[in-house]
Amino acid sequence: MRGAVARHGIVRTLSFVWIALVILAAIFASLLPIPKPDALDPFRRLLLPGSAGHLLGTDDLGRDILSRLIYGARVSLIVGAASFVCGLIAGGAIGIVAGYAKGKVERVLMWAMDVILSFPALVLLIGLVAYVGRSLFDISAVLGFLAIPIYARIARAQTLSFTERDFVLAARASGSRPRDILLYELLPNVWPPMVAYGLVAVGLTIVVEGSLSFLGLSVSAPTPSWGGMIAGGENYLRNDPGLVLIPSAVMCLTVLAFNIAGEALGAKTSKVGRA
Amino acid sequence: MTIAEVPNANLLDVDGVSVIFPGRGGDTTVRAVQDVSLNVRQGENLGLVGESGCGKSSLARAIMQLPPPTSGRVRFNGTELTGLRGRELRQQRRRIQMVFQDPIASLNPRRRIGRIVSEPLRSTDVSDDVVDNALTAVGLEPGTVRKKYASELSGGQCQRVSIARALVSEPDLLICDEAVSALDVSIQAQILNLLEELRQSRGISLLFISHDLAVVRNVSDRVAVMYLGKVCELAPADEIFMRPRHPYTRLLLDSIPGRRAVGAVRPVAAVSPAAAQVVPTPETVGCPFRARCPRAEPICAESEPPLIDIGSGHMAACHFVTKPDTRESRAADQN
Amino acid sequence: MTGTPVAATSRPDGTASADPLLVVESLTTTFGIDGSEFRAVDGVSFELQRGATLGIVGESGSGKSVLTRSILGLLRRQRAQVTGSARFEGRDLISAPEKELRGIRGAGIGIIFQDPMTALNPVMKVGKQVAEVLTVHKGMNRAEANRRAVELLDEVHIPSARTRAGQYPHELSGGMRQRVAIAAAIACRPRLLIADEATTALDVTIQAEILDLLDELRRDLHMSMLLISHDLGVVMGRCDHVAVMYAGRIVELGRTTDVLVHPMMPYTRGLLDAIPKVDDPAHTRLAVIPGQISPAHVRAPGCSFESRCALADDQCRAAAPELQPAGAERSYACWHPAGADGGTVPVDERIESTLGQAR
Repeated sequence: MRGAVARHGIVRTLSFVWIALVILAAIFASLLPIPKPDALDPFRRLLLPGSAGHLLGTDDLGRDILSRLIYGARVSLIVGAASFVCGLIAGGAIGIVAGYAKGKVERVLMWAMDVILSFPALVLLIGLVAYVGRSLFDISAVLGFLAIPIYARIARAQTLSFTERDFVLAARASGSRPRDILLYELLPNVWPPMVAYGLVAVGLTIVVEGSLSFLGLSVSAPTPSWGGMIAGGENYLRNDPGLVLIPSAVMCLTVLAFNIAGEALGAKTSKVGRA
Repeated sequence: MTIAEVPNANLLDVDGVSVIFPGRGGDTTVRAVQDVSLNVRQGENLGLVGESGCGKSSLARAIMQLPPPTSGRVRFNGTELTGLRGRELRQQRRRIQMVFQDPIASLNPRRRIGRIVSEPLRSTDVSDDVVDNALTAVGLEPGTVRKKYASELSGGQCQRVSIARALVSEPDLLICDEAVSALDVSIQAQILNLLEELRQSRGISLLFISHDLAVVRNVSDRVAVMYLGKVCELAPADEIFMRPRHPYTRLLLDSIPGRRAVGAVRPVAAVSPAAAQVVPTPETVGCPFRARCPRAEPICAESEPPLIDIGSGHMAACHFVTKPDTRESRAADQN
Repeated sequence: MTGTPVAATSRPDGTASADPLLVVESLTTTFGIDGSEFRAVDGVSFELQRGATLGIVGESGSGKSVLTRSILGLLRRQRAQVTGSARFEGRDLISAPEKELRGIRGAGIGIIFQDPMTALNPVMKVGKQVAEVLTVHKGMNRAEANRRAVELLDEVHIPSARTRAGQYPHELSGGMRQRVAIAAAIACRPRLLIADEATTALDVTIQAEILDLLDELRRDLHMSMLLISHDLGVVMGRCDHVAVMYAGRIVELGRTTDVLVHPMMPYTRGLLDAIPKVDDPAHTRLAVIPGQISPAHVRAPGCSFESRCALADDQCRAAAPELQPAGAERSYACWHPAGADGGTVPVDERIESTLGQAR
């Protein structure tokens, strides 16, 4: 069902538009005519969306919700991008090498990946965060590291499906060096599906970061984050549900948009190079 | 002695090659190729015929050292290929090129044709001309085709691209592994003519592997027939098709669709349908064909017949190859 | 299309019958892909009598497989539009409701496809798969169907049928899997057997055995047979009649001996010339048909073979020739058939002699 919806042109376009919007807003946040995200205003607490000067209202400390959403997007996007880039490059490299080399090299590499994967993620996160720290950089590094084995697995599976194909055999038969085969035969075929998956993974990472924020394990207090906003609004659910619902909706839409974009890209790339 | 000093030297020498794949757990070792020896002379085409499981593709890959054979030696133009590694092997490989069965899968779906064809020459200096010449030589228009992707071409065109890719390295030998089997008849004819043209204009010899006897007949000067990893008959093309001596060769010839003649050998019906269904594994002692052979006798189960020369370059591996059998030889003579 | 199908086949005793088993009339199958339409099958008509065999020969793009699937209504789930009629024993299959078709498929019409591995369920024992046909169509109970299934496996010469019935498809060789598929196809004694490239994926020696088996079953069970193949040789010795397809149309139709020895349409002639002959010496240059079939969605008006034909002229480019009769049971679609100027050109005496002996 979701696939059918994703295929529908307008949904796909809207997803890309939304992602672009979020990214642009996050980058140019300081240029936007919005109040500062940490500007406290005890006299204008818990205003409803649509109030003067506060498009989406204010939270329990009088801070503008829209502004906090936009600045909070930075956290989500940076963490998402970090895991994407880290996973794609490191995980991709490990996976392709493992898939092509096979034998002992493959076993060792994939064993290492399995070790990382088999740790209960949340426990690992809590422990790492406690030791490593809670700056944006630290969180990004941790989540980036945890993304590597997943990308590695996909890269390896993709590589395996291509190494046995005739064109790789033909390249070997023509006298190509292993390095050439990895770079020019395998890589061009492996990276598109990985990028497509990666977009979906970004959505997942955003949720993970959101959960961490909610648990108070992500970036520290003054820096707004979506999960933090949800946590902050927990106590006001009954009377002012907007505090929770608005950031939840934004997070939900963003994750959905990434999923649809990833699927669309996946469909497109599998059509182009189809044998 | 260099190759130049030996007249009629062998371009390719395959000596006692075996390819054995170890099984996982249990003893499911697959003996794809067992002790096969053959050669391709300069300027001649050798046809290699057999059905699925006979080992012809495994043999082809072993010749290319992809991977090297389990045992035996392969010599190309006097140079020993087995045991070569790395750069030396890659250099030698360039002079034997291979064309595969599936035209579209043989080409990288994400690279343009121009890049694909020039790839073998990546580590050497290559001008655009070489690629253009190769594409023209196979009947394609370089200007149009260079920028396309494999998915935009037809099966026949893809196969031409594969041949062009093989040509840029200026090989002496081209191994065609079922290279026309996936093509329509009318396209197949075009490719066969092309291979013949290349043979005449560039002196490229062929090791032509196929299950299609008529195609092999068109292309080959000599033919080797394989069954379950062994060569059962090897002879000049005329000899094999007009005077086949091994029962399996006869069966193959009779099975060619549209060639059923009266009195044709029908070993399956003669023995029993049961025997026909048995897929004998290469470990069995004795002649590998005996389960389907109409002439099988106890000796066939006890000892494997060696490949022996029966005159005029004709070799066959059968206990009864020199003993005339009235029914079979009469039927064979009628063909 | 003229609307009157050309009788393709006569009864084995030579008489034409008033009630042919299968009558296909102006069958056209159109696919819509990415906005553009193309006709995979374009106005095909033929008749098949009881007990007769018709071979349909064509290369890729000829539409022969789409034709079979259209007749059987197997394209309904894809975006294919099928017009025309295909009357089996008087009932039109194209307009029949799915439920009725399901009753016919497997019971009145048996079908065998190319790849036995995908045609059989890999996780079900083969005996059960044959039995399933019987329980579904004949309402047999399980025990009875299983027993009968073993008998059927025996009928198709599978040795140790009882043991084999308890095995899975991957435990059998390709030829045996195809035999299982045949057993399932004939389980309900269909009147028509359709073999769609049934031997293409098999080794040549096994192919010969399977074709022999089909011959035998056809005679014993008095079935008609539709044999579809890209291999002329397969059709040569096994079918009384042959239809040659190109780009969705039948371009030649008639008794196999006639068509293959005296082809009238240049494509048929070209096809026969392009096949390498075992009796020709090595390095014989083959007569080729230049070019290749044009992609399906760019079919110009006029004869679809025109761009590859040596005899093509303006008339060929202007309008596509219709299938016209040339004597009893013979028709062709060409503006310049061979022999139009009198005297047909024999193609290959060796083929002629083979055909003469084959029966």
